[in-house]
Amino acid sequence: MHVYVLRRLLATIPTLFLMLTFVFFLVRVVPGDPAIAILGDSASQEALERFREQMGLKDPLHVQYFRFLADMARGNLGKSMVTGLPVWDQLMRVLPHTLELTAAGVVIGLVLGIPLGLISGLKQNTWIDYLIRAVSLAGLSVPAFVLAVGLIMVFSVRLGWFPVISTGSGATLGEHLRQLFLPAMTLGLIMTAYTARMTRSSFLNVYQDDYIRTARAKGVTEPRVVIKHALKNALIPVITLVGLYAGVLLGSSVMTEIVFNRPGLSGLIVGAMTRRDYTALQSLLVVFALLVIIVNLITDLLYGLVDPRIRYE
Amino acid sequence: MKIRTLLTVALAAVLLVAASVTVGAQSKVLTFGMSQPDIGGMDPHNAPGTNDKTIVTQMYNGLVRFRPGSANPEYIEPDLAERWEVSEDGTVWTFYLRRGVQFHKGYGELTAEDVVYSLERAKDPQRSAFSSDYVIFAKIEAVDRYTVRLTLVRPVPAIQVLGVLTNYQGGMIVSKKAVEEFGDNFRMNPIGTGPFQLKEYVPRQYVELERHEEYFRGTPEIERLVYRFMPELRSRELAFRAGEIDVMEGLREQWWVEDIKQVPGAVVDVVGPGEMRTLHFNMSRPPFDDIRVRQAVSYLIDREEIMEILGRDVTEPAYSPVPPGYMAHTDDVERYDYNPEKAKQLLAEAGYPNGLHIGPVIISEVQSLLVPMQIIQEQLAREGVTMDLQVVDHQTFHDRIRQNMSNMVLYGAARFPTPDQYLTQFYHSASTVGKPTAVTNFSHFGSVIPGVDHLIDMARAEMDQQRQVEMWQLAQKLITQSAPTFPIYVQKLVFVRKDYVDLGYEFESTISLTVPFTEKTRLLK
Repeated sequence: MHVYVLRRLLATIPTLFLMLTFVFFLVRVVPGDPAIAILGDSASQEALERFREQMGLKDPLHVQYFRFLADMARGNLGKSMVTGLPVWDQLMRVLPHTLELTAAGVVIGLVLGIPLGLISGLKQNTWIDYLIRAVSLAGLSVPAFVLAVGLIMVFSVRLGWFPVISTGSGATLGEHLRQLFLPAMTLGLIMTAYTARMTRSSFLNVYQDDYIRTARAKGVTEPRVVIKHALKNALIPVITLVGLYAGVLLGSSVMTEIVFNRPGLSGLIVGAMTRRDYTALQSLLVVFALLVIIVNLITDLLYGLVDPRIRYE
Repeated sequence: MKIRTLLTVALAAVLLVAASVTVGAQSKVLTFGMSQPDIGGMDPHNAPGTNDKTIVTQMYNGLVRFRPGSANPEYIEPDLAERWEVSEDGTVWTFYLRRGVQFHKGYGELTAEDVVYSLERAKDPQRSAFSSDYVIFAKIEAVDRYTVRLTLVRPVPAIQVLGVLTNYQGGMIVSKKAVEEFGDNFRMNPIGTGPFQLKEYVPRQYVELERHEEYFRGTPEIERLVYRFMPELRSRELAFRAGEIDVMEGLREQWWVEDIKQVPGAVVDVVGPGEMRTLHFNMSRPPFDDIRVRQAVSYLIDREEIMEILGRDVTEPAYSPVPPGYMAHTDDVERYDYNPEKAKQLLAEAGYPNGLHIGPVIISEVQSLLVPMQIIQEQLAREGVTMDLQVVDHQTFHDRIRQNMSNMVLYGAARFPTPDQYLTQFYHSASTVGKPTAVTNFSHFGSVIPGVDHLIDMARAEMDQQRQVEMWQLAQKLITQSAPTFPIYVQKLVFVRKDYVDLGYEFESTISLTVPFTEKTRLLK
């Protein structure tokens, strides 16, 4: 197991380096000028030039590149070109919200998705199965934006149970959860759809395997066969799905964040992008990529833990 | 089964939380839903964006100000200065300050020293985005603690002197002590004399202001003013309906205005001055180097239809290169009203009897530019005039049109309501894109064909107001004769507020392009 972990860790190093390089050049390939974005459309050329000089945008590209690599190596995320605030501070302000939302979405997805998928598999080809499959298909197809607005219309505007503006942090735990609920549901319901479908198909696969028949032949009771023998093995692909999807959630929660006015990493990235805030943008993209790498690493490690065949390969 | 128990518990917890909700009744907090995702800073001398101005205007004063609810320069009134005198030759202006005006957060009393420091700063291109407005001041000095003397390089019309001393852009007065203390961080630590002061700024979330207890016009009624960044219209609207925000920026389209009027307790303010949308023809290359093509395309655009689609209440027709409502504006100019027959004839004469391909036209994805551009594309296509419309994000749009990459540029702008800035930035040869002094002259007017530089320059220096107005009006007339641009319409501003928000003034127009909140603004709930 240790060798496996070490190998996985070492494999992230070239990924990180490639990612840094990619991010740096990607940010600069996009047309647009941070000087105009920041100083406004009636700013004089003189003012624009001065700004570019101050921000080091006039330096040769390779100089900027190595400066960026050196900063990253030291863990220095730099300052936003627009606000002058340290990127690290902004990041620390939003990161807990992003992680919280992602985690809540994943938990809702698992808590609802696995039982639904299981029921669907057990009652294969009955009306319950058809219903669950139809609803989860709808869940896969509906854009987060539409779902979010729908939830707000019903639960905030009509019923007044939850706020439209989710500041991300309430004074009390109750208030906090209340603000988290609708955004987490938006992500969670979509995740539920994925999980339910994956659980169902994986469960049906496993349920026909020989060892299940063996278990029954040994006289193991049916609930025990389902939970202990079939479901446990059926959940291995679900882990992969969760790992991949958590990475997607980290980034794709942008629409959810915007609709609910929630602080978050993806919102920060989009903001930096629209204003061509190069310094903030490249640092944030690096952090985002790092998070995805970490999530994938954890998934790989979990996978190795659950399925012994993988770690001995 | 365990899972079922878990689910039941989770559901019960959620319902409990939902049920335990108490609706916060805070009657002295006003929440404003902004359409922008963030601000750039709160240093008034470096706050060019509408988003920045929205916040900054609440925190600072000028020597003089626009009357609240009005952007009409005729109603400029005393602000930090109680009164002023002008020397006989018109070159020396003496301002007498109010006494006892306090800066925010204990930064002390406003003195002539702060005013001198602020205006010197506004004039300095190293420290201000508006320095070109202040070149008329040769000397800025403090006579005593409460008197400031401004000496002009030459006599200049009163409106131009007072204009740059208003509570707008560079005219805002900052605390010398605070700027020196915070240096570059002043933009995040704003200290002014206005009715509200900064409490907290959270990037991409909100700016919270609190009332300035010692505000010289009296302590504001509203205790806190929260500006929330809510770029998504739908979510802004839902928050307004749910009562979580009190005032919001609306969509500047008729259908939306009609829609939101139906919400109980909603008051809609459609106000000026608004941004004028003008189509600039790039005359630096074919096909628009030919005046007949420019005129033909102008005749093919149906202004009435565009305004019909966008809505009568939120638009106003524009014919002159200077927006209606600005000083010296005139509609007595060469007009190009919809006339497809005349257009076809002109195109045939220009050598395009079977239609014309305009080439690349770059437009921003921002709705208020994209929608009218798409209507124009459709109108031209009806008569066989086509283009390669390239829709790009807003910053790319700004970048590319400044690199002269678009054959037509649809642009919207609002400026100080006299013709000088508008004419200089869009029609002076020095402002032509590609030049070192470039601003926003996308048509190359004055560079590739004779322009009106001399009129713009002379009018700026003209002391006789009557003659100045005449020069500005002549410039408008001459510009339209060459058809370098096609002024289309003015897009008015749309704000929605709850009926319990009493602004405390008549809201007709706004120089800061937002809803100003004064010491008198109240929440009647």
